[in-house]
Amino acid sequence: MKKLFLLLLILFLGAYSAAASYISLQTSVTSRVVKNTLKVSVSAINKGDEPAHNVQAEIRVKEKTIPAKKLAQLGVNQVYRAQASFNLSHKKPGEYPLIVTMHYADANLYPFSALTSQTFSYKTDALVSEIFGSMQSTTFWKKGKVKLTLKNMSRSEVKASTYLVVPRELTVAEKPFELSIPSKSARDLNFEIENFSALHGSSYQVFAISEYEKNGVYQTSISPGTVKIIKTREIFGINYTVIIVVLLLMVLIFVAAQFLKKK
Amino acid sequence: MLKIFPRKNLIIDLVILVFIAIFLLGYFQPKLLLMQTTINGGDTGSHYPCADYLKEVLLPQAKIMGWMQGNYAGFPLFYHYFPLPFLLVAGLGYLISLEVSFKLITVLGVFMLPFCVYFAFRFLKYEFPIPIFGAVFTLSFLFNQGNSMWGGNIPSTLAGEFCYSLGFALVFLFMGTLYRGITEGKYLVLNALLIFLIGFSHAYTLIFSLLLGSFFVFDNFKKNFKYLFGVYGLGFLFLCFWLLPVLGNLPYTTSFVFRWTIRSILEVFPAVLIPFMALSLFAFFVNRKDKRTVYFIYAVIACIFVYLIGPRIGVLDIRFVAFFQMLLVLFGATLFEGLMKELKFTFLLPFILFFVVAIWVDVNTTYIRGWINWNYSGYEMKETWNVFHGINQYLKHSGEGRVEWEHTPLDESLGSIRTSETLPYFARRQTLEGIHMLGAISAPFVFYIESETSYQSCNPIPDYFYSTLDLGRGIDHFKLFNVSDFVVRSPQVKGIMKNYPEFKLEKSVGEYQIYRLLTNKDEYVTPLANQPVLFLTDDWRDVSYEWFAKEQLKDTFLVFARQADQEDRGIFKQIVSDLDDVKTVPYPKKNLKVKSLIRDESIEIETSEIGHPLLIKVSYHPNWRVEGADKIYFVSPCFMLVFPEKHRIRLSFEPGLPSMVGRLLTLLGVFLAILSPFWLKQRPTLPESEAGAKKWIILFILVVVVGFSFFAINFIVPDANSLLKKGRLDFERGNYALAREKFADVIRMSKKSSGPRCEARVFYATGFVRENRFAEGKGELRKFIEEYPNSFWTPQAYFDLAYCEVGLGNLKSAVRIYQKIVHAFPLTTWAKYSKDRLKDLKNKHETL
Repeated sequence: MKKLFLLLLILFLGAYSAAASYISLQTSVTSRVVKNTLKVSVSAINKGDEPAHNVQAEIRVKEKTIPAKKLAQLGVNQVYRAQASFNLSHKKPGEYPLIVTMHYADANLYPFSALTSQTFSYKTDALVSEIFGSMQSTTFWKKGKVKLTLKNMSRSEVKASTYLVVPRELTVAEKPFELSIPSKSARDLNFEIENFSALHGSSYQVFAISEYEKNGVYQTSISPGTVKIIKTREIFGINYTVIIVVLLLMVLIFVAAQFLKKK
Repeated sequence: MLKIFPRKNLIIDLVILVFIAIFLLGYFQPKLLLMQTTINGGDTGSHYPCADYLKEVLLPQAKIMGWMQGNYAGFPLFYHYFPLPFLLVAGLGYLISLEVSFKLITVLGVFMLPFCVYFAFRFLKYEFPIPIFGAVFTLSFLFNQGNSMWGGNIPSTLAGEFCYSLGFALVFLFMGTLYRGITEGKYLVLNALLIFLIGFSHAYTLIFSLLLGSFFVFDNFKKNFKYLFGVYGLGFLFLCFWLLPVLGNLPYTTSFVFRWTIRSILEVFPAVLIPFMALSLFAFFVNRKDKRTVYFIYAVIACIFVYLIGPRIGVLDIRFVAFFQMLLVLFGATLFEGLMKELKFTFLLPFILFFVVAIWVDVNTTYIRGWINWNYSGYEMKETWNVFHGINQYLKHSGEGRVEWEHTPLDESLGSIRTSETLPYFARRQTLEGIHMLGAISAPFVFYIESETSYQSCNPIPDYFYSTLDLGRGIDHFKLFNVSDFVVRSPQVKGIMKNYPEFKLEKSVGEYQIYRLLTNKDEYVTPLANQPVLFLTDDWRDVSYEWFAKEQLKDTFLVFARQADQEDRGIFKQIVSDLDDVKTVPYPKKNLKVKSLIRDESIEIETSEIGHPLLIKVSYHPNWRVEGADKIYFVSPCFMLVFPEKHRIRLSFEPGLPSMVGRLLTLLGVFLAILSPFWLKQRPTLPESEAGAKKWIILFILVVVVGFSFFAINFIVPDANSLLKKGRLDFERGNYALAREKFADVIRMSKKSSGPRCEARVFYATGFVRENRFAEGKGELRKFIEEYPNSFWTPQAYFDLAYCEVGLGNLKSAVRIYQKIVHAFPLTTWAKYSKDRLKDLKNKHETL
């Protein structure tokens, strides 16, 4: 009979949770520079299983932001397309960052946003950045940290300005880091992120962007990372960990009691 | 009952029950439940105006059933729905705000279920800790996210099925009290009272209570019959004051029965329930000699049986899967009974089990918390409240006619896709759609209008075919239903409104536009322009629906009767039994003056001409009484007609004969219950018997019956819906001849108004097209279009017809048809395809 308890435990461990409806926007961005004008095309396809509402791209180059047209509803497998043009007045040729934020809402008009970032070449052919960055994924509910490691692969020191770009559901505390990375070495940076309005279970792409100048050419390195928002589980306001510890204690006492001899 | 439990165990049970309640409150947060906002979400919000009407209009007149003008051109409230939860809402609403009261009653079933199950196990004489295990196990069922329509679980409750949830909790209590009562010969009045409460909460839970009783008929008919007769008889008498009017009202309701499609076995056996169901399997082997095991297994098999035959007996099959799941979950708790004697420190087990189950349920729960927050925060807390409030404020003063609101999923942001159904409460205006579609005689016509005037209509009643978007016809039907305001949301419908100058844009609120139908006169009572025709039929719905969908007869109204008497022959010049025989005969033009006043349960009319028939655009019901006219005629589509005998006419909605008889029978029941100590003989307690061979024979027979039902339903006498599904499957596989046979059967067995018939008819024709048999395809498609000129499938039929013409070499004809599709059905995908085809044809044949 006692084996049944083992079976019970095994059965409880074996199951998984049910899935709900979701929206998944797959965004692709193309850009080209014609003389001093950057032309950006954004397309986003809804790969989820429910329509997205109020879909709108927001395109950012340096301090200038252009909100693209808004689409009331984007059905499953339907494509949203938008274009924007920027007059560029950069002093130096090189690679510059381009940030696209897709804004959308679910059926309840709860707002979401998703980021994508890439570089475009201005008055030069495409360049390869001499800084390589790697960002660790992180999971948190209210506050968390992401760690970025930047590696300078060049033969000289690089002085870069590095900042984190996050969707509006998250808030990043730090201002851009001004740092110098010696040749052939690496530097670690920690960015503190707060959850502003992200829902439990959602994942966000964030980007660390490092910009620097070298030999009169502007350079940009983009390092993607993922932030998962997982609510701390509680029952009766008590953390799962505490409950599981208490539960294990009770199980231990119960099991031990079975071996006690009757007086 | 409590004697078998030591005090220590009772305290433990009580603590765990409190834990369960607190766990539930962790999801249903008190601050939301007590927030004074109007509940929204799913169907739930649409129930609120009914509770408000009960409290403000019916109860002050000492009535719980009556007429509500707010939706469906009027419908009889609580003649086809269950008053108990609404009475509780209204009753509590005298002490606290109705908004809060409504919220509390919607969660009552959820909170009661663990308690009812606990006491059921106690009544079934399971010893500690089995009853509290059962209570804890209910959490897995409640938090099952696998469905939100089958009933009993939290998602279904949030979707609006709170009446079912209440009945569900009570019927599991009844499962215990009936067993105990019948074996010990007591609790007869208590059980009858439970039958009353269960039936007063929901019909499906009442059916399940009958299934439970049938076990004892098989068990020992001679011994148990009297007791069962007493319980169910007395329960029936208690219910009569409500049930008899409900039964009398059945001919005036709308049927909604179909076989639910279960796409995966995991819907029935979802992961969150599997561990508990597995325990049940073990429990069955361990406790197979226990009579109570047979009771459980019998109930499980009975559920399967009703599930299989459900659509054939007019009940929704899927509602019995909820009982099936719950029984399989609960029975797992009994596994531990044998173990308890061998174990020490058993007082720890309820705590261990509670936390294991709570964690299990919590980690498997994803969307429930969000949905609860969405519903219980209420309409007023939505970001879109200003928009909805603005619309209501405008509509409150914009006119007297009814309001139609385009059906669109975009309304979800207001609080629910069914937000418009609350207009009678928020805007104090009548609207067409409403929550009680099955209790409304006009529901099929209302949803037909919706399909004519919405880009994404919901077409909810599968027994009927629907229209494609056709505002031109929609305007005719708006006038017929006295619709003066039209609220539009989708960009598609907004885009075509300018093509209809009869509509004037009066107000824009957010993304919504409110149009006034200038050609509607806001009149609920109008004199007929043409002589009414007496139509003899046994199936008025089918005829009326065909009449409604056909444009040609729109101004010639049909009065329905089974046969014509001498008086009828004197009144009606035309008496026909075929729509093709109806002729339009106008009355001579007169300057008639008719005034009307629509009140909650009465209609006052003043007419200048006696004898000239008046159309009353309010749903027909036999409980309407008239003064100033001989009688009320039932006229197409579902309205009332009177021939005035005086200048002043008054109609009033009265209780009717079934209600009178019902009240007397209920009084008799109460009288019998009060006197029960005198006539009820207590039977001696019988020793608990083990399940003998006889019980297993009963189960064997039941299994055979279930198996046969399955075979019979699926292979011998399939219904139209199942046949249509099979036909479509054959069609998709390219077996057109085989599919046509099935479609032909569907056409043969269905009425003209039937949705499956319309679909089968078009696919019957399309099959020929797919086989390149263009001449036959063309012929069948022409017949289809003639029969269904505006149906949902008609644009597709035209498209296939054009394809046939191309195949037959009639290119000019094909071009005309493609152009017609582009012009007549511009918002359909068929219009897009037609444009492409037109381009192709013009490229290939420049002369076209």
